[in-house]
Amino acid sequence: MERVESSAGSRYLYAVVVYFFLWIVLTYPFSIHEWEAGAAIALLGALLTYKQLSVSGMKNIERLGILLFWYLPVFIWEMLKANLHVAAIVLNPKMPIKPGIVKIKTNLKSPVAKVWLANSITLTPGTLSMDIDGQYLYIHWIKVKTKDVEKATQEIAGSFEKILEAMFK
Amino acid sequence: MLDAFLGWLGVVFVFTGVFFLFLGALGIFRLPDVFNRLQAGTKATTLGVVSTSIGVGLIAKGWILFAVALAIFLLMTNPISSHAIARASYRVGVKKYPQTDPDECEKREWKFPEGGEEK
Repeated sequence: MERVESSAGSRYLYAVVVYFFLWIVLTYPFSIHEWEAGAAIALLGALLTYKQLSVSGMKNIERLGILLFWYLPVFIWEMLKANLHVAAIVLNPKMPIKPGIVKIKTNLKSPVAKVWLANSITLTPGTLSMDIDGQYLYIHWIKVKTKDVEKATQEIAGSFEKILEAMFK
Repeated sequence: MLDAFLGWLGVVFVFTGVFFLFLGALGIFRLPDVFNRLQAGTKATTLGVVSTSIGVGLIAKGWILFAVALAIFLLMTNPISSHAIARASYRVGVKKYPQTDPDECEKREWKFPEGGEEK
């Protein structure tokens, strides 16, 4: 599996930024003393854990724009649709389900992008990602529309794959 | 004025969340097998809890940042736990709904990772 790593400095800086931001959020009524303690702990904690936190370092900050303005609106819309879909199935006395496990193929290379894709698929209408095998994802589909790998990929992952490709290029 | 409006918006969020949580519970009760139940469980609880916590953040002033942080953590971790349950229950051979069709998973040869156990 491809795993492009950024330099250690960039990853360390990213860890510091993330921890410091988290600290600020969690100690909400803002005060300068809290921030000083937070800075010290962020610098120290990042030193211990930056290798585990990220592989692409500060590049993640650049991705935030795409995440907020492109991914998030699509995602929220899909999640609302997913919940109404579940509601329609559960409240229907006949329970119109036709479950099946289909296989889809993804072009995403990096492992992190695959995690994002799998999570997005799980929270969109009628699909639950179950397993992964190289470039193939196994998806449990509550109402199977097609058994073909290509068509299923288009139907399930189509909207998110483009966004994630742009995000993790 | 704005406070009252935000408060009522929060109430709307909380009730939407509670409604979806109820649907999730109903789905777990009604659907036939573990995978279908996971579908209802994951989606409904995710939106339900996110919506409820954001509603609480809008009602109680000063809590919105915590609420959003909580929502982000839930959005990132909830699907992962459901993958883990689905994958594990498929691998140990939990009975699936008999009309499950197709089942691509059945055709694949299981490759266990290093150190894993063969069934």
